[in-house]
Amino acid sequence: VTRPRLLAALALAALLSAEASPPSASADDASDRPLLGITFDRYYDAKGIADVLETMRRAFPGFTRLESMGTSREGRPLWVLTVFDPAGPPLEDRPAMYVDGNTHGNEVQGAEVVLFLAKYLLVHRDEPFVRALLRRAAFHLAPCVNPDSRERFLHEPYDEHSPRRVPRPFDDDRDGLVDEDGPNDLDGDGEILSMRIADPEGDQVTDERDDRLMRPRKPGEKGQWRSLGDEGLDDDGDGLVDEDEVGGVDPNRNWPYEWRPEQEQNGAGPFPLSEPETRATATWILRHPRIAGVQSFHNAGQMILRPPAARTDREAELAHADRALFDEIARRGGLLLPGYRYLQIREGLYLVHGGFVDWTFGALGVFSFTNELWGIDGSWTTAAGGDQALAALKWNDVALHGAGFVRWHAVKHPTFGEVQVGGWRRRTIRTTPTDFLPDLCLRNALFTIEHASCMPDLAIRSATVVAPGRVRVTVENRALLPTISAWARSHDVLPPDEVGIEGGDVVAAARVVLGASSPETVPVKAGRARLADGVPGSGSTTIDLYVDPAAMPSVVVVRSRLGGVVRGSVAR
Amino acid sequence: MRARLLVIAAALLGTGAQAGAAPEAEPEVRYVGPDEVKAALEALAGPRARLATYGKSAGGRDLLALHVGSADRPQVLVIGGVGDRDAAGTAAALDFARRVVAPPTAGKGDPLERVGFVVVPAPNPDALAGFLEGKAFRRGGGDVDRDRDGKAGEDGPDDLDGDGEILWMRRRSPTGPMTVDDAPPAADGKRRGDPRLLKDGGVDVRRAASYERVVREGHDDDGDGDVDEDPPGTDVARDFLGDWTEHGAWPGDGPFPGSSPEASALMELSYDLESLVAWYEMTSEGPRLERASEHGKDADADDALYGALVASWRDACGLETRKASERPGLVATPSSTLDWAATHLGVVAVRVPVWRIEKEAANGRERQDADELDWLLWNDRVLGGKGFVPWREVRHPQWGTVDVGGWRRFTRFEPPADLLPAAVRRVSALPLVHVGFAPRLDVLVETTALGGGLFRVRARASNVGGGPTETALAVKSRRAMEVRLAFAAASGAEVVAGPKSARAGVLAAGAVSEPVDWTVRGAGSLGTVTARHRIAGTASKEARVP
Repeated sequence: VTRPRLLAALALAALLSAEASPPSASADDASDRPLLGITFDRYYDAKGIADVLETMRRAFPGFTRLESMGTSREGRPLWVLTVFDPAGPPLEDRPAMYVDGNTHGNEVQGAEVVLFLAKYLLVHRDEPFVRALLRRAAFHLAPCVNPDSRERFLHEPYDEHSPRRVPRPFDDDRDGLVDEDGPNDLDGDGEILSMRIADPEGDQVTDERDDRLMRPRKPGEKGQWRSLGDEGLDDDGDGLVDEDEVGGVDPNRNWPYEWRPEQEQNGAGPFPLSEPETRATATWILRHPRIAGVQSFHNAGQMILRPPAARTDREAELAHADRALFDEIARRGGLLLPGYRYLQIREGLYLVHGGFVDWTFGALGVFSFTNELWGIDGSWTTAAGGDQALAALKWNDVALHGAGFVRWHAVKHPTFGEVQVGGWRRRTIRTTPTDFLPDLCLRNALFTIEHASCMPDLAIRSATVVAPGRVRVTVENRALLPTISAWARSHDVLPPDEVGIEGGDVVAAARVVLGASSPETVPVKAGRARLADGVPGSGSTTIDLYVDPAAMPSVVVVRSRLGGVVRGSVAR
Repeated sequence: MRARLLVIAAALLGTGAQAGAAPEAEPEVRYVGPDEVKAALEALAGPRARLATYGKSAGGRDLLALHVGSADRPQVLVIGGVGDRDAAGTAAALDFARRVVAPPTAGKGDPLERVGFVVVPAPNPDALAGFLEGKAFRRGGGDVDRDRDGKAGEDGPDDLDGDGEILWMRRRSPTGPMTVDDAPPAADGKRRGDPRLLKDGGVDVRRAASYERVVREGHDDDGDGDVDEDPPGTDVARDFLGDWTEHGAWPGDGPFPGSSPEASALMELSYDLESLVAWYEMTSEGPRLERASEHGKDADADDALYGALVASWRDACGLETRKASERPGLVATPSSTLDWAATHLGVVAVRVPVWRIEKEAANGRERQDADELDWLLWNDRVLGGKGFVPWREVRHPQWGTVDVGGWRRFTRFEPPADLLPAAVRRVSALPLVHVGFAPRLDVLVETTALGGGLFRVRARASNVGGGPTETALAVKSRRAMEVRLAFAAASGAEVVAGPKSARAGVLAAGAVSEPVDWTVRGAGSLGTVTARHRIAGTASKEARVP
């Protein structure tokens, strides 16, 4: 990133943190008017997402490609919109940023962030920074990779925490029946809340600080309540409530890197990529090998997460150089996302086997992040004396005017008799309330653009004939990230970058290293010099190509898996 | 227990005959391609069998499964081999399908009363077609970019000499580790080596002739200096999810386990068979049956069950069994079919080879099973030497002069067509053995008067089948289900106390569960106790006032 760009980001972050500003993805040009109707004061369902994407495609046919990566188990398309400036090199020759959302069905706001990012890029396509990025790179934007569960979350009674998984029929309680005991909306209010029953032997009492809360009873104290878990019935008569809801595979535990079976990793699925959603996404990503940056949006807790997810950095032997690059991108992101904590998944959050970004980094060698969207700012907790439950209620009273928490009320339960139902609605503490959505979308979209700007940016700085049959080439990388990370190099997950000539073969090559007593031999295969270490970020590599003196080349070509394909003329 | 199992098996299979004994009218056994397999399965569909498609191959062929008998019984999966050249396995699985679909003859039991079978003769139909056509090296699955040059499957084996066969290639090199295996005959004249064979001799530059390791016939198609490093298709046999303990990227073939549609569809089919109890895989060649474990030792947890099975398999076909991990020269792969079945599905898994030869009397080597010298001697004696193409010099475009030669098709790795029927019939009925190892439930009910019109109904589930309701690995993999006991009150009766549904545990063959009690008010019929299990099915018994 350039210094002016960084300063601009800092200024923007300061502006954003000062007040909740409206999204700057606004139309000031006649050609942007078709996007005016795309607002982020709502959650789009499957049809809504398809309509938004189609609107963008129709408005900017030259800047977009809309396709489906595949279909979900229930047949919904897995849309991906590619945004780019056609004035740049062919799409297949550019680095690309893959961004997805809504991996877990209930974590819906990720889709809105991805849609917002698409709109932002299109609306700002003529701004110099965005234009340059869209000309040298592309964005693959998949707003929702779990559309079946999103649709349930938006249209059926659920709490904020489900449905998380993809809807493979699954026998959670191993009773020979599948998905037979999910939640039930006892009072018909469209929400799944919590249940409690009055019980003098119960282990809970009403919290004196706020009667919406319960606390454990103290020794010698008489009980008041017994918690019965989520609102629901014992549909299958096994004595348990809501223990076998729809679905059973966690789409963020189903990826083929550090995968572990069900007995070790809950939600793993029968085998890696067993689900149509994950398999289609993985297959699509593998067919787009220039993806050089990955961002996935989840909720909640305001976190910027990075791999490894199944091992600590030490266990994974993550190189210091790679960690420094993760840290730098997250540092820049942190400026745009005040309140977000930057964590290594295994060390800072929890152990994840078969996670998506562990695959994209571990198996594909691509710097990847997961953002956990939304959360109540820590200042509320501080004000509540460190009690998060109380802080959430206080926030609810001020920010939502109390509407987020349904007060306990009596409901007739067919099995338990009279119970009380109450608790958090959706779009409160885990799902962003829609009034707060535009600000969240803008900040996270900018974070992703910042990450994308760090993808390798290759150019041939010079290519000069220094002797008959010898061309000296300097390849520079003007962005933060190297074409091949230390991880990719040590785990052999990326092919070497190749430097060749058009219309002929390189027969030998040597790296020119300042201060070294002699040039370093560079292997040549199939007529191309192979740079196993790639081109460093914010740096360059100079090599001498030895060619047939009788057929001196006029064009040098660099082919890098993550850096793309660039060409340069040879000066004589 | 074994004696009882053998009695059951004998009753189902005939009058004490081996499982491989020929039925009255022997169906034709020959090599068949995917189209003929499809036609044969369509012909077998009817009152006893249902044909279903469970996916499509990479080449667009239907993946077909014949479901024989009731889906409510424990299911035994019988597949042809998934490898590149398992045509004999396909013939054996198809022969099994014909046997089990045929109505039982008088005096013999019907195995379908105890189990159901799911028969997949051609799980990798593209490879089967390619092998039988013999035109080129062809496999199932999609092409893979193993050398990561942006091109997938662009450098496979080639027919260098235009003889219509992809054979083997050996290349002389002063630093090669291989030398000609030409040990002189023993004093009694028995052979101890053969110049057609190579043996590992370590690098020795003083040796007259040294060779690199034998590789497939082919050249450097993509000009990267390597030969045959990126063959078309996927090695489907190395594309399953086996033992997953390694760190890092998938070490099988393809970018991830199940990357080929053939492997993922078969994993999906078998995973969805909740009542699956065993996996029998018919493969082309091998000296013994092979049971899981292929990699790791997970399946050792079920050694006791395998011990009984091995004895029954030996009785049925005369072959010994070894663990797959005991195969000589095994390159450990965590991607095998057997480990998928045993470790992840928790079922008995065994590989049944169709083709083998006996040890040759003229072979003077110490060995347990037939070795490469036996095969050459057999080739010379039975095939007149025509099965093995002698090494001959061929001009190689990149390597100069190389030797090309080796085994033709239908010799070493699958039987000649005229020997196929006997080889198939020896093993094709083996899965019927599992009829004697499937679990089956019964319910034991005692009713006791408590006074005041109340009765205690005490029920136990029992396993009267020949195998456990769950293997140890099924328990470990969380696929296991405890037997459930439930009570439904009769009309006019009332349950005063007792669970709606109770867990009765995992039951070994012959085992009885702990009791479950209900207190019931009623008269005459009190209700019905039902035991239920995903594999062992259901059993019910009425509880009556004593």
